[in-house]
Amino acid sequence: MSARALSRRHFLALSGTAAASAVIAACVAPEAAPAAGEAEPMMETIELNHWGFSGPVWETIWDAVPDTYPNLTVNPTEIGDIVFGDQKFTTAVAAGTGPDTAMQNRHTFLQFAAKGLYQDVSERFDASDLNRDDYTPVQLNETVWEGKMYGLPWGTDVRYLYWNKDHFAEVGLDPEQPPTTWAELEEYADKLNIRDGDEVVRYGFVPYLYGNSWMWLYGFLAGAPSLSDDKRTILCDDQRWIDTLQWMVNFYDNYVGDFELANSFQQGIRSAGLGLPFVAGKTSMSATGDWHVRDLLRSPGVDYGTAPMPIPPGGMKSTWSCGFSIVMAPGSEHPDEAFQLMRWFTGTPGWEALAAADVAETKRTWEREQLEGEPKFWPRLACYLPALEAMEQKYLPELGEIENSTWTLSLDALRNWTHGCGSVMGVAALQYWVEMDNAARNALSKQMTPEEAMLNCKTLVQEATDQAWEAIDNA
Amino acid sequence: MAATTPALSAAETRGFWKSLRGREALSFYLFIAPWTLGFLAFILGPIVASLMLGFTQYDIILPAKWVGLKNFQDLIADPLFRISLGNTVYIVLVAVPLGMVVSFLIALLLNQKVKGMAAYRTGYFIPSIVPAVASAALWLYLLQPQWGLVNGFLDLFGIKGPTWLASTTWSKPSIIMLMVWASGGTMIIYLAGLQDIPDTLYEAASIDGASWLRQLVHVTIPLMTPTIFFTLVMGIIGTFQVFSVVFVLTDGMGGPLNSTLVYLIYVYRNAFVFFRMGYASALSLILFLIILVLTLANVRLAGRWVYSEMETE
Repeated sequence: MSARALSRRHFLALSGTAAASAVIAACVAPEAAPAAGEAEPMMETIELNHWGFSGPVWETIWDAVPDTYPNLTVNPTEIGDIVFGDQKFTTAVAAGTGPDTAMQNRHTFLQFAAKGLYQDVSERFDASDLNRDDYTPVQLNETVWEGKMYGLPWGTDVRYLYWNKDHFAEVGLDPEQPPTTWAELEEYADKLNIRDGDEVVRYGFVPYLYGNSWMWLYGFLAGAPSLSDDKRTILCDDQRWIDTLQWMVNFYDNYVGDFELANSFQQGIRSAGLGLPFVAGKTSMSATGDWHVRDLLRSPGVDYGTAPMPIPPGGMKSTWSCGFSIVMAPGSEHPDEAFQLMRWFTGTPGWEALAAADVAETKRTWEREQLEGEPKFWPRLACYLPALEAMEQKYLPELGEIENSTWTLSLDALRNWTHGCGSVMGVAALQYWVEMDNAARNALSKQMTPEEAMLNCKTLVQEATDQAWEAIDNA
Repeated sequence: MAATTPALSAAETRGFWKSLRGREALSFYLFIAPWTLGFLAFILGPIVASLMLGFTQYDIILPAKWVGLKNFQDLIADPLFRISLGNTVYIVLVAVPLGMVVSFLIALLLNQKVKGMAAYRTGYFIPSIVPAVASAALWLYLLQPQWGLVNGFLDLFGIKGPTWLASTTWSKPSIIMLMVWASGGTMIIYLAGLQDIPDTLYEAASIDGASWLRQLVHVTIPLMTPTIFFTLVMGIIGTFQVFSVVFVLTDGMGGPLNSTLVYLIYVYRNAFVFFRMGYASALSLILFLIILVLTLANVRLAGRWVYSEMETE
């Protein structure tokens, strides 16, 4: 009995030792470095870790990096959410295990640059042959915090009005004349609405909820300021914001109806595989971005026009742009090479590689969805002007009149009348984004009056802004 | 340790580890070492750190700054703290009893001697082992207002279903439905409890002429109270910490209009979206205290209704 128990314990002891050894062995990081000395390459190849987007388009473009920089290879990894927070990057940088380069959203750029999440690249930029005049000015400015440059602007976007010409003709409106004032927008929306009893068949126009406009677009059209010049005071309690939200509430009351119903109508169209409401002909006008042209190229049946958004009395031609920049993480072991990669990615070679991957993906989409005609590709908007020009020269001649006029409209807006999302939200940008959205939803779903909603937004965002400034001032 | 253990010479120490007791102790410590190290590094460590961080302002980049009780004062005035706590209490108050009743009834059904019972039991248990993210994605389809199966089913009876997750009124009930659907774990515990009740008691009751209902009320439920107590305590603790299903169903936002902003989503949002680690730690500490008080109260009240064989012996 005792001998048997003893042998079992021996077994247990051995197993325990083995298990612990296995755990300890597993804790030792495997050496990933290639064995030195074996067939040394002529030039040292450096692998950079880049955190950004994933998917078929993004996986292939890095193969083209050695064409420009033969000593560089890129190990791309998905960065996760960078719109509502930046969890992966921030925690990695805090732990000292960040990548060499990373994509970052423009609306939170200054908030994170102020915290030291990005490396200052001003000196490298100035020492290079890059020129500040070669970038779209708004987006370049949004990489600068307290006079220092913390990244390179990559791509951007811009928002305007799309209208369905067939729908206009159908209700007796001139198909070539979009609304130019909010009064006309209301009048046209009313004419374009179709109801079957209580059921919605088609909306004329649904501000905020459909397309991609948010509260920001309407506030900027009304000339509402979002932030003081010193970025310390939140101005969403300005009467123009309150009036804008009141207009939107009235618009829903008169021409849209119930907020929840409009939301579920949109969800229903998407779930049915009909795509976006404007493409599906379920709304006659939409306030959304340049990228929507891609959706419309896949649906050649929609005859549409694009124009600047209608303006309220006392307002101004306006819109807003966002997009992404590329940064170098603090602690990159290869800052020179990381800057080379940033340059490549935001420069013409990077854009050409991406466009080639985009074109291939467009062809696959045409095949997958069995679309008629030749695959058509609408380029993204580059912040580096020579790249933008190269895209225009290569791809716009292949597109039709409406795509070309929309491209011209996009560039005009980018150069002359857009607001940058990175400039208008300050150092508590995330909170501002979330609370502005909450304000709109609170008012549109009648939980608060427009004034209560905007004042609530002011209180919450001002508090977050004060805290952020306190940390910056004390740093 | 020094006070209770007599000092050993080096030779005696070596001897101890060679003895049967020593080898057994060594095995014991080696076996529990991986868990203990993991617990210390990844659970106890963060708990202690979080306790201290609750009194600081900390954004994980800049050094933490001691702010005393400011975070706790702030959360008293914070409307989202009240909303998130209110939403969580609502879900606990509805989902825990509902989940327990439904699980109990299903367990009663699954405790019958019917052919193919193993298949039924498996069927009811499967939802509880579907990962939270997958079941949330599934329910997104089921609850889709226009084409979802739930509204399709209601439509058969001429009922126009609500917009579920898009509605501030129905978003919490939607989450509760999902949680109840996935309460197979509780059902299995009840089933085990039911099978522990000796048949002799039912035989005696039926000889005395007790109906099925009287047997349920006077035999089954009293003998199940320890199991019910266990699932109540664990249910309250678990439901106060509901996170992943809500996170997936609402894209991490707790919408619409904060109607599903449960407590841990708010903690997460403060910690990993706004990087207000100090405030998030203070929120976590409050949740810990709430759960602690409720659990102690449950244990204290248990004597009044939980049947214990120990008392009768």
